[in-house]
Amino acid sequence: MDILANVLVSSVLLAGVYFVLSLGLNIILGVLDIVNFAHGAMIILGSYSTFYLNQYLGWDPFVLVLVDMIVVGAIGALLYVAYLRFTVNSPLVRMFALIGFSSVVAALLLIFSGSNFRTVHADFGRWYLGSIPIPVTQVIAFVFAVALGTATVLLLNRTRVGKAVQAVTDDRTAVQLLGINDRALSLLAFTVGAALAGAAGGIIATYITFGSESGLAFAIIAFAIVIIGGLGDIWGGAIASVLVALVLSAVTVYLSSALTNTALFLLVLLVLLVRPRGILGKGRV
Amino acid sequence: MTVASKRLFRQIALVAAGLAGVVAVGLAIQQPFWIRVLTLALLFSAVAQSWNLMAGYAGQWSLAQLAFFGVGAYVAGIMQQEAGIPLLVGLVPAMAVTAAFAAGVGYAMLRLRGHYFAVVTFFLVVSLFELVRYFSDYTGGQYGLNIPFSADVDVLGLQFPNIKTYYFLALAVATVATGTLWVIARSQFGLKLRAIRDDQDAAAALGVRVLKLKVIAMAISAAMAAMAGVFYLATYKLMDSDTAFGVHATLDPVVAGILGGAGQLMGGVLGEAVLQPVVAQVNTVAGSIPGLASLVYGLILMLVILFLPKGILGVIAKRRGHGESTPASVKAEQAPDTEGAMAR
Repeated sequence: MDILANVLVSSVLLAGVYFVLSLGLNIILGVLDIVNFAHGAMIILGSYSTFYLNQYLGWDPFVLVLVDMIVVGAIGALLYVAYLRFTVNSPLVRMFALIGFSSVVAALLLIFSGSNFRTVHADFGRWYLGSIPIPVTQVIAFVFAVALGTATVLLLNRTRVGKAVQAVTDDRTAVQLLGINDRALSLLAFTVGAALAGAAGGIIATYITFGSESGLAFAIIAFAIVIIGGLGDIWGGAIASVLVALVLSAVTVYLSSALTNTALFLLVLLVLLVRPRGILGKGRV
Repeated sequence: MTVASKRLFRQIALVAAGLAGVVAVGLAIQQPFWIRVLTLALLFSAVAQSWNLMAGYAGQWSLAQLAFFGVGAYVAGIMQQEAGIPLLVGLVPAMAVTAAFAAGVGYAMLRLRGHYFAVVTFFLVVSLFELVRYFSDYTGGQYGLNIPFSADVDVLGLQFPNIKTYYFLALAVATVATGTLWVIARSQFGLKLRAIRDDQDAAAALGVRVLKLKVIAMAISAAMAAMAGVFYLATYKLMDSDTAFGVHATLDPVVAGILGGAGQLMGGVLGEAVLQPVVAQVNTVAGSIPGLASLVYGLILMLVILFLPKGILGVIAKRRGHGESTPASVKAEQAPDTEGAMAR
């Protein structure tokens, strides 16, 4: 019973972080119709940004989450302005361009930062829920993630720009006919998506050990959430975050931590066969 | 002669000349280093051609083609290790198993379109990587699957003391793969695949059984890749999870296919002929820095997509004003966005 309770608690805490992990991916997918394969690279750039700034400036890891957003957001904007918009305007081709970028980032991190795994020290002790220990760092990370997610959703729902982003997600052609500048919107979405990935990377860095290849593992989780939740469907993504966190924890505890990606693959296949538009049925096909 | 038969004649003459050239190169080269590089290029060009069939002709940009190469090698290798079946005898069963596996997963995955399909094929790759590591009793886990080396000639076991033999075997593999592609490209089946590639909905409306044909294409492409995998195992006596399911390995056929020209008959072959020597040279000059291969593949992919999205052969075909059509996926898909044109 204790194990089960433990799994439940840690899954809920993880789900908050996973939601932020998938949020940036969903926004870019919605506006640009690109599966951002560089999402993992951007997440891990956020984690490394926290690691180095924490090491050399000694800033608090949770303050650095905001810095990571700026750093990775800027990298994303640069990638879009200097590279991506010059490529053939096809979601498929651009996705493969981003695969190339993600491969370059992982390689550069390995070459310049080495193969050591990194940890950021952010230990705030433990709380106890009955007999279940809950690391306070994870609680703060959860709060941060939920706050960030809520702020993003509010910006999407309450501001003109946010509504434009949602409108493009729904119907690109109609938006262009209305005279909204969808080039500027694409750049904005790509930058925000990257910034959110950076924030997710910064939050994750506070309690997970990571290396140059960890971006891939996070990207896989984010892809799974986005497909299970429905492509471009942010609320579906929130529910899928909980589901994925539960499945991953359960597989790790009851089966093997060496089979998590296989579990995600099977889950994704199952969802695609049964509910191709995601669990809420509102995603794209 | 009609125009069509003239073209066919010219194609056959070109292929014959190309084959003669590759044979001549094989006979002439003496440095073991370059024989190995070119053997690898020939084996991988069969995989790149299998990618070309899926992506260039059927419009399904798979990331799993090298994984099928790995599955084929592991199936043949495990049959050899566990049941003592010689590699050459195990070749056809391994290809059949891989094709059946591809058809099974493809039946679910091919319902997705475009880049969403590519994402699930990536899931397949990372899952296979895990499974091969997990079932290490059969696969050798992280150390890979080894075939014992024999100094004697053993045709059924594909054991030859002279490494040039493997070069010519690899040439045969690449030729069979390209020949298969050629036959498909000229058939009704190939025509329907291109119809699916250019407009899946229109093809379906005209009565093309889209899912079925895509699944068949995936099974054939997987068998092509598996064939290359078995001969890779015979040549190097080793198959491991990084070679088959590692990230930069996964990119190899994709980079080569785009570089040579997706949807061009010789695309995958030309791509590998350029890519493998470049990768080998970079590795020689820079030593074996970890991560270097990923850097090279990533950079080449980014640059090729920026400057040569239609590939070398696509550019040549366009200059000459004919040749096979460029896949729609390489053209701009959304007409209203003129960003790319304006930026240039």
